[in-house]
Amino acid sequence: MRSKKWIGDDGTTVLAEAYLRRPTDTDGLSVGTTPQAVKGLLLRVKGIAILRVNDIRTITNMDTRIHLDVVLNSDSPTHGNINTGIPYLSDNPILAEFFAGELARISKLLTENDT
Amino acid sequence: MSNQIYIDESRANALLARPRFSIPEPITSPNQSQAVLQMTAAYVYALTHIELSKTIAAIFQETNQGVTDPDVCVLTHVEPSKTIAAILQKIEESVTDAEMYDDNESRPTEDVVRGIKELVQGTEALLPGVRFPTAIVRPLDGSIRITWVKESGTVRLVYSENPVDRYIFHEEVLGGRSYSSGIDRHPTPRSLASWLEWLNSR
Repeated sequence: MRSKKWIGDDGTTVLAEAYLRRPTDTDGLSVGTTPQAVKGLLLRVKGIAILRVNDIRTITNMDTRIHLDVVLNSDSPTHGNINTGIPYLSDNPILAEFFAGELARISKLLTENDT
Repeated sequence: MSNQIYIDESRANALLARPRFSIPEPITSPNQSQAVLQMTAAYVYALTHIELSKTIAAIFQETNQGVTDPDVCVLTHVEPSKTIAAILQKIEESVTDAEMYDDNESRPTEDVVRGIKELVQGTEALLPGVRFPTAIVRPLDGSIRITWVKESGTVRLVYSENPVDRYIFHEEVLGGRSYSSGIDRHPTPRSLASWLEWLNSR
């Protein structure tokens, strides 16, 4: 997570804001397969959240019945995106907020010791 | 079951000054949540001010019958983060915190900050004496987002420069998953008060 604003005020929870797809997220929501892979993205990292892929796949768009999924990059298999059906916040706020909340609820914020 | 009820601070002080609780008339409505009368007795719970007034009246009927102990009540202050008024401070803190922004991210304009504060202040006036889950305030791409979360639901006010992008998101949560969500695209003090009362009642 690149920003402090994505972490709750208590410093232990991941907020829905972490999973809102913004204009710069052209390929979806970026993920790494391990904490080390996330650190390797050379981004400014304020924290790392862990999500189980199986849990991500249980999150479904109630209208289309399409579930979220993680697609790994062919050229960098330790990195990928959650990119099936997550709309930009500006395009579909209700669905974007719904997905963001669901992803936040299945997230666990890793501590420094975890990473 | 909650063991806290809210009453006006002056009323609370007047009650506590009495050697015994003997209310001449039932309390019909609580005022601002300036004080909380914390009951150590286990039978007190009230989440809405309507239920609250009934509950208070019932309690004092019982106390008049000698059920209670003189030491049963303690006056304490409401935790500041649980009042709507405290959110105004959180808004100010979050929008001025440089760490809340990505590189090149738009900041909320003064109009956005003023607008959301006015909306919150207007809401407070409609919710006398009501306590809420702690609010989380975050700026995002020029907007300000205020989220109230309970295990059973979420209410989020999103306030942007463009009125079209303002809304109240609400969802019910059961077993850690959202099963009913929606958006109110015309956030007003009344609509926000309504959704917060909904959240509070869950």
